[in-house]
Amino acid sequence: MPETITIDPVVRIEGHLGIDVTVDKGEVIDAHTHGTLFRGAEIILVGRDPRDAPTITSYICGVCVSEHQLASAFSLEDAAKVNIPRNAILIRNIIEGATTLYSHLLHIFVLTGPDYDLYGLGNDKWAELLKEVVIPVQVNCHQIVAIWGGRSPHYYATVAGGEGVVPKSELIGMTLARMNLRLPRQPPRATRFRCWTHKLPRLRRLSKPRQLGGETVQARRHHVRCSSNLGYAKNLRGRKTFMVF
Amino acid sequence: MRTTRREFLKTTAALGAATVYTLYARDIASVFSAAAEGDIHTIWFQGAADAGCSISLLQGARPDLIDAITDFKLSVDFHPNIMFPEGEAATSALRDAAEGSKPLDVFILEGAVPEGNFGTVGEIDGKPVTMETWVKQLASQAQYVVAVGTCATSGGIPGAYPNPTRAKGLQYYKQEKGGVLGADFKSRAGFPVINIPGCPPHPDWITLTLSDVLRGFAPHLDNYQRPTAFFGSVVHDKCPRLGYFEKNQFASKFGDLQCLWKLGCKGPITYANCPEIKWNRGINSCTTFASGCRGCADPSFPDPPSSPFFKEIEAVPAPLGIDVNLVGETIAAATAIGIGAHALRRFALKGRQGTTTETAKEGA
Repeated sequence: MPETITIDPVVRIEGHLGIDVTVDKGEVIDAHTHGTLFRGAEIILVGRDPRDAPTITSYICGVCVSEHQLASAFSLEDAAKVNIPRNAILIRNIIEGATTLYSHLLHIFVLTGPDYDLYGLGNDKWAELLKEVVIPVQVNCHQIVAIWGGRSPHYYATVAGGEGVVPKSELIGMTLARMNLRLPRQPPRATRFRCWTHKLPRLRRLSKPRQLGGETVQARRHHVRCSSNLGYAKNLRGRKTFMVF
Repeated sequence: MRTTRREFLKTTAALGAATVYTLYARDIASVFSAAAEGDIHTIWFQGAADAGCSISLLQGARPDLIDAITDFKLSVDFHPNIMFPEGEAATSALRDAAEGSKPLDVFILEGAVPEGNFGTVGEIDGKPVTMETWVKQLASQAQYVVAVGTCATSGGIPGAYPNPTRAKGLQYYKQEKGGVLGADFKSRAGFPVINIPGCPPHPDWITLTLSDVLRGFAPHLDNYQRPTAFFGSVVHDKCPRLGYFEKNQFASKFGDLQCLWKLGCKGPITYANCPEIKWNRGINSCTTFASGCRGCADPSFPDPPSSPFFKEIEAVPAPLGIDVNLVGETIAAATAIGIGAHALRRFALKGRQGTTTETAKEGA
């Protein structure tokens, strides 16, 4: 006799979702998801000043603010057929990189990990890991976004056509300082897993050597060493590295 | 030295919210630790929200969200982003509070309340329960009701024109009183809805207001029921670029450091103390180094007068009610006279005392 199980609300997601699963003799034979909230962002955008679109679109989500804002800015720039300055691309990369980092962190440790008992998270270790690792690191990433955007979440630097800020050496220094993060105390040991980033195709040099005032300089990739206290993400050479993009 | 009550209140008002935290950090911690024994039951409900207010709360400090929940055992019975039980177990927490079988001390709403089936949470007997139903039932059971964010306060983004879901805030829709609960609503402790606007609100605004509420009294509220400690002055008044405004120097393109008025900054009409307390633990604010205030704490956000975001403010409402060009020129003229007078005085003093060897060259 097939039985339908409803899970509504699904928790530890952003937003509202319900799931119906029909099970017969221990096998799932049918499943439906239903979004249980409608807001109508596209309808709200109609008739407004187009330059307002990145700001309003960014409020679709409070976690992935940067992605919606960028998609909106890209569509406006495509419509106007403009190329944005290179500095704007770099600043958008920095903000997007920090956002991706804290999104992954939030997703694995807070939202999804407990459901799959990832890294032993399905127990009371969750709260401790949250306090010792997740909160400081995501505050750090949000600070990188705030340096370039004014605040985080929901920053206001991305405008159609570029970024509303200019890079200054202080901002670059502040960002670099937050890319070498040392945690204050030994957090609880999470399960080790093999880092797979070394298996990605090796990236070519990010820049070629240039002449600058008589000497040859070349930009370097920045390796962020995660603290040995974290106890995970070791590559085959035993070196703990993250690649920051 | 004895001070009168009036002077003491003036001094604390002048100190501003930034110092309140350092002054009362120990008090705040003790309030939350008392909550551990008393087990204060809170429900953080999300309506038509984007979870930005919760993410903003995670950026706070002293106490941060985890300190408040774990060390002090603040009993958060329902929070969709962090709670473990889902489905019927989650709705049972809501049902217990709504029916009154479990106490509910603070009901916090994040996000606007859309009409009818535009937003539902959970099912009872196979039928989805609308957010309106939950909000009205839980608000009637709670001792205190707090609206976090511009959406819960006054409709916000889902309530923006043309408001396809007929979403409203708890007790306001834009500037009109009313909302989902009605203009006359009072929670069980006898207070109206406490509004903490902002899109998202600063985490300090939320934690400090909650610590007041948990201590058993509502903070001093203004005519939009916002705590005046944080929403008593406009962004413009505390902006670090105010000096440029007074010298009539305006930024003409993004990246300039002068006053952002002509690029559409809504600082002069938005009540919030953002430039004073800064964001993300003192890093930056939207007017300090970004592309300007969008008026996200204004009840009208994101409709006019807080939008279009890049159109400069023309009609400045009372009590400002002044022409920006006139003000700038007047102050610039006064400053020039002041500098001139000071230079004359220095020059005259030098001539009389004859203390320095550099005479006319330096003073001129």
